[in-house]
Amino acid sequence: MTDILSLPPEILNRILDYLPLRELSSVCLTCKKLRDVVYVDSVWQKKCKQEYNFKSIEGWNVNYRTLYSKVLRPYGDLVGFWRRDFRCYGGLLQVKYDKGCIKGLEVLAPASSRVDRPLRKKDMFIISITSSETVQVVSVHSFPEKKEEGEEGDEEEELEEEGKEEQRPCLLRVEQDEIEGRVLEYKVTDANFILQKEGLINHPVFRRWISEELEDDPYAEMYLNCVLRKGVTYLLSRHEYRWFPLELPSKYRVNVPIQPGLFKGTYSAHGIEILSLDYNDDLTEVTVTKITGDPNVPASEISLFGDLTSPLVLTAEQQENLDSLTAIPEHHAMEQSGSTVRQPFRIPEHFSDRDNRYIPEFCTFRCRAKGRIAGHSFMTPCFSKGHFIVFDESKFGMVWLELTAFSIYFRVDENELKD
Amino acid sequence: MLKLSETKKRNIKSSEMPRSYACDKAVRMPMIKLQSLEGEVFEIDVEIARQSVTIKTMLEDLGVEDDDEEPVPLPNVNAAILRKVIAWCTYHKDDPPPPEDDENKEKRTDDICSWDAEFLKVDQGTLFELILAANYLDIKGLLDVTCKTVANMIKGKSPEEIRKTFNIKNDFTPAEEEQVRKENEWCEEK
Repeated sequence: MTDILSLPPEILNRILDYLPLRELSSVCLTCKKLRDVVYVDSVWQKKCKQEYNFKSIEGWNVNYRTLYSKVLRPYGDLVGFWRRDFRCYGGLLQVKYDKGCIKGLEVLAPASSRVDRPLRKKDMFIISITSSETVQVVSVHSFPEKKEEGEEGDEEEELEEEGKEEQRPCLLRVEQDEIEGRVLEYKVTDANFILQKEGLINHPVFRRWISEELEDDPYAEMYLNCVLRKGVTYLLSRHEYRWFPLELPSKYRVNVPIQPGLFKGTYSAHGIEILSLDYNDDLTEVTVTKITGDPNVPASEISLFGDLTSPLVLTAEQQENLDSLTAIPEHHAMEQSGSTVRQPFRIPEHFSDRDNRYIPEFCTFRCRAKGRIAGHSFMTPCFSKGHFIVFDESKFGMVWLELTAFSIYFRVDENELKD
Repeated sequence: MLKLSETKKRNIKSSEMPRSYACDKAVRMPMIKLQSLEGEVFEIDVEIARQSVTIKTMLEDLGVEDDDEEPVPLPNVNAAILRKVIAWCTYHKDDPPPPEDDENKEKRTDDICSWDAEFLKVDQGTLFELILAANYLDIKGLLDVTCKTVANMIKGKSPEEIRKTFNIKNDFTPAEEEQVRKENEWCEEK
C-alpha cells in the first residue's frame, strides 16, 4: 500500500506548504525522513517570501530556516514606514531589507530651502545575525573627527564629511498598546556614552547639525533660531524614540487633480517638512497632513485642506494683488467641480515666498482652501483662508490670502522610498 | 506508440461509462482512448482529458488525432485510480483553469467543495495513489485538493497522533528526538 513516506519530496513539500508552524514542528518530530523534508531550506525560503516579503538572502550568512526563526519572526514586522512620536517635530522612519541586514533609516526633509532636492536618509539602526546565529541589534552613530588643537578660532574650518561611525547596542521592541495600537520602541542602551561624545555644547557635532539643516539657504541668519531649537531638542532626546506605523497613501484615484502621496513643503523659518496628501472617500476634500512638524503646527496635524467642490478659474489680472484676489465673489464656481482647467498663475504683489526659482506660470487646478496656523506650541490654532493650487503631478502650492504668503510642495519621488 | 495485442484490449461498453457518456453514437464528440497499467482502455471526451497537462502536451506534440484507434498508454496509473481520475475530471470539466500558484498568498485548506470532500473519502492508499496520478498527469486542481486533504489530516495533531494516522514508525532515539524538539521550540512561541 502506498504510504505517506513513499511520496516524492516535491509532493511532500506541496503538502507542507499548507501547514502552519506548529504542525510543521509536529511533522518534524514524527520520523527522520519527514524531519529532513521539513528542514529543506526551500520550504523556509518560501515562508520568508510569503510571510515577510523577503527576497534576497545575499549578504546574510545563514540559511533561510535560521533567518526565518531568529530574525524575521521577531523583527520582520518592523519593515515598512513609521511616524515618530517626538514632540512637535514628528519624523519619518523607513525600515527595509538591506544586504545582510534589516536597516532602520531616519528619513529627513532636504536641507532648508532646497525643496526640489531628494529626502535625506540617515542610518539609524541595523539588525543582523552572526554566522554563529546570534542576532545583533545596534544603533548607528557617527561623530565627526575632532579638529587638531590650535585651529579653534578658524572661521573657515570645514567639518569632515565622513566621521567615525560607531555602533552601540540598542533595544527595539514592538508593543501593542491598548489605546495607541502598535508602537515601535527604540532605545540606545547607553545613551550617556553618546551624549558625552556629542555633548550639547560639543562644538563639531552641533555645528555640523546646523550646517546640514541650512546648507546654502540664503535666509540662514534669519532662521537660525528655529534650527537651533530643533537641534537642541533632537540632541536632548537621549536617543529614545517611539514610532507608530504609517500607511503611505498609495491608492490610485480617478478624477482627482493630483494623485495622493508624500510631498516636501516649504514652511519658511521652520525649513522643509514632509507631508502626506490624500482625499476623503467621496472626493470632496483634499487633505495635507504633517509627518514632520514644527513648534507652531506639530506633526500629525492637518496643514491644509482644499474644498474640491469650490474650484476656481482665474485670469492673470485677478491675481495681481490681494485686493483683486479677495474681490472674487464667494460663490464664483465652475461648471464641473474636480475637472482640471489650465489657467495662469501669478504670485500677487507683496506676497512673500521663500524662493522665486520654482514658481510656474500655469496651473491646472485651483480651489478654495484653509491652512492651519497657530501660535507657539500650537496655541490658539485656527484656519486661515487660501487657495489650493495644482501645477502638475509633481507639485502643488498654497496661496495664503490672510498671511500674504505662498508655499510650494514637491512630490517625493517613488524611487526615494523604494526598498 | 506501442501496438498492444488484440486480446489485451477490452473496450468499455457505453453503458459502463460514467453517466454523462451514455450518449448516442450519432453525437460525435471528439474522443480519446486512455490505457491503464493493466491494459484497460477508457474512452473519454478529449476536452475532459485535456485537464491533464501531460495528456494535452502529448496530443499537441505527438499529433494524436481524434478517434485514433491507438490508446494513449498510462503505465503509471492503474485502472481503479484512472477511473476515479476520469470521474473527477468529468465533474470538474467546466471549471475555470486553476490560477498560477501565487507565491505570496497564504494557502488555505478550508475551501474544498463538498463534492470533492465526498469524492476523497477513501482509504489512505487510494488518496496517495490519486496524488501520484494527479502529479504524473499534471492535473493541478486534483493535486491541490488531494494535498489539502492530507494537510487537513495533519492539522491539529501531535507528533504521536500524526504517526498513528499515517502508520509512521518513530525511528528517533530519545536523544535525537529531544534535539529535534529543542530545535523546534521557537515554533511554539507566539
